[in-house]
Amino acid sequence: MSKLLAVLALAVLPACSSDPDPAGQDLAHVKSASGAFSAAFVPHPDPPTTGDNALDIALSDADAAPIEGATIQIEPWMPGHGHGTPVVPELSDLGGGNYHASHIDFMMPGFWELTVAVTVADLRDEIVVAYDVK
Amino acid sequence: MQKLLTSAALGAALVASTGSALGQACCTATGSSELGVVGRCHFAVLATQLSYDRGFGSVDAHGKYQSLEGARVDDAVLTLAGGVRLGTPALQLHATVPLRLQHRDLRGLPPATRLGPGDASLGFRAMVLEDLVAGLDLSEPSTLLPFVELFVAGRFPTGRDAGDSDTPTQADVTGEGAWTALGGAQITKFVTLHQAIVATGSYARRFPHQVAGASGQTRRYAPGDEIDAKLAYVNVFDLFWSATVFSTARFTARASNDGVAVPDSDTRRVRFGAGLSHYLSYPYWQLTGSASFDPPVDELGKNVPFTSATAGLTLQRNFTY
Ligand SMILES: [Cu+2]
Repeated sequence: MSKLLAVLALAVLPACSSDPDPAGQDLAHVKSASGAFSAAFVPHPDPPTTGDNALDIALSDADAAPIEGATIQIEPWMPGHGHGTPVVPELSDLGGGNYHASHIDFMMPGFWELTVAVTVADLRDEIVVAYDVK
Repeated sequence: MQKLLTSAALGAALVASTGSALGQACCTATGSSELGVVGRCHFAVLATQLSYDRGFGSVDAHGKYQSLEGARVDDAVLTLAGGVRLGTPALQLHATVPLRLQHRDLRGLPPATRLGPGDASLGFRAMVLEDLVAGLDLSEPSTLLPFVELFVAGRFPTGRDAGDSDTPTQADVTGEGAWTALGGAQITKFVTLHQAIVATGSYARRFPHQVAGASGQTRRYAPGDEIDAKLAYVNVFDLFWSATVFSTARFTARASNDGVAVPDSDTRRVRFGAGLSHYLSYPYWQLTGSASFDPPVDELGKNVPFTSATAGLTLQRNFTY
C-alpha cells in the first residue's frame, strides 16, 4: 500500500498540480476538498503493475454514509509523458456505495494519475489518485 | 566554387593516398559513426540500419531499477538515412527515416505487434575547425586543434503519437508527438594517429502540443527540453577495421501540462555501448555492428519506463568526390 499515493484535487485544479508524494495520507479515507465525498481505493493488483489493472472504490458522503447511484468516470493519465490510454475504464455499481473499475490499462511503468470524476445529482468533484506503477 | 571543390578533391585524394590507416582514421572518426552523417573523406552517404531493442527493466522517479515482470517490450527498427555535402566539404545535410515494428505483451492485455513510421529527422552540419591528425605534440600547438563540427537538426512527429493510439498496449505508438529543434557540437580529437576521442553535446527544444485523453479531455502538454551527451573512443586498427566504445547520457527537464510543471518528471538515462566497423570495399561499402544497453543498476537513471539492450547492424554506401 505504501506504493499507492493518493491526492485530492478540486475540479477547477488541473490534475498535474497534485503533489506526487503526499506522505502520510490515509488512503482508505480520502476526502474531497469540498468535503462532499470520501472514498477508499483498493487497486488490483496492489500495488498496480504494467498491464491490465482494476480498482475498487468505496464512496461515501461527509457523514460516512455510502453514496449509491453516483456516476463515476476514470481517466488514466501519465502527466510526465503527456498521454493517457486508448481504453476508457469501465465502471460498475456494486451497490451499497461500492464501485468497481476495470480495464485500467497502464502500458508502461512510471507515475500515473487516475482522475476520478464523481457526479451525484448536480454535484461534481474530482479525486486524483496517483500510482507509481511498477 | 569549382576551385573549392577541386582543392577538396585534391585534399581528399592526398589524404587517401597517404596511407591508408591515416586516411581511414580521419574518415572513420569524424561523422561517419552517426547514421546518415557523411564521413570526412566522402561526398555523400546512403545507409540502412536494422536494430533490435529488447526491454528488460525500468527505473522509477527515485532512480530505483526494477526488472520487467509480466511484460515483453521488443522493437525492431529499420532506419534509412543519407547525407550529402552542400557545395563545400565543410557543410552537409543529413536525414533519417525510421520504420518501427513494435511488439508489446503486457500482463492481462492482448499482445500486439504493430508497424509504423517513427519520427524522422533532418540535420545540417558544419565543420568549423580541423584536426591535423598528426598525433599530439605539445611542442607544436597546432597539433592540439581538434575537429569541431556544429550542427542543428529537427525531429518531426511523423510517427504515431500516444493520443492517436487504438491499441491497449500502445504497440502502435511509434512517435513522440512533438516537434523538436536541436543544436549542438561535436569535438573529435586524434590523440594518436589511430586513436580518437569524440565528444558530442546537444540541446533540444521539444515544442508543446495538444493531447487528448480517452475521455476526450485535451491538455497542452509540454515535454521538457533535452540535453544529450556522448563520449566515444575510436580505435582505427587498419584500413578496413575500426572499433569504438561509447557512453551516452540524456537528460530531460520537467514536463508540464496546461502550463503547470509536473513534479519529479525530469529524466536521466545513461547507456554504454560498443561498435565494430569494417569496410567491405574501401571506401565505398561499410558494415558496422553495434550494441548498447542501460546498466541495470540503481541511481544511474531516472524515470526510464523501459531500459533495454540494443543490437544494430548498419550497411552504408559512401560516395567519394
Ligand atoms: Cu508514458
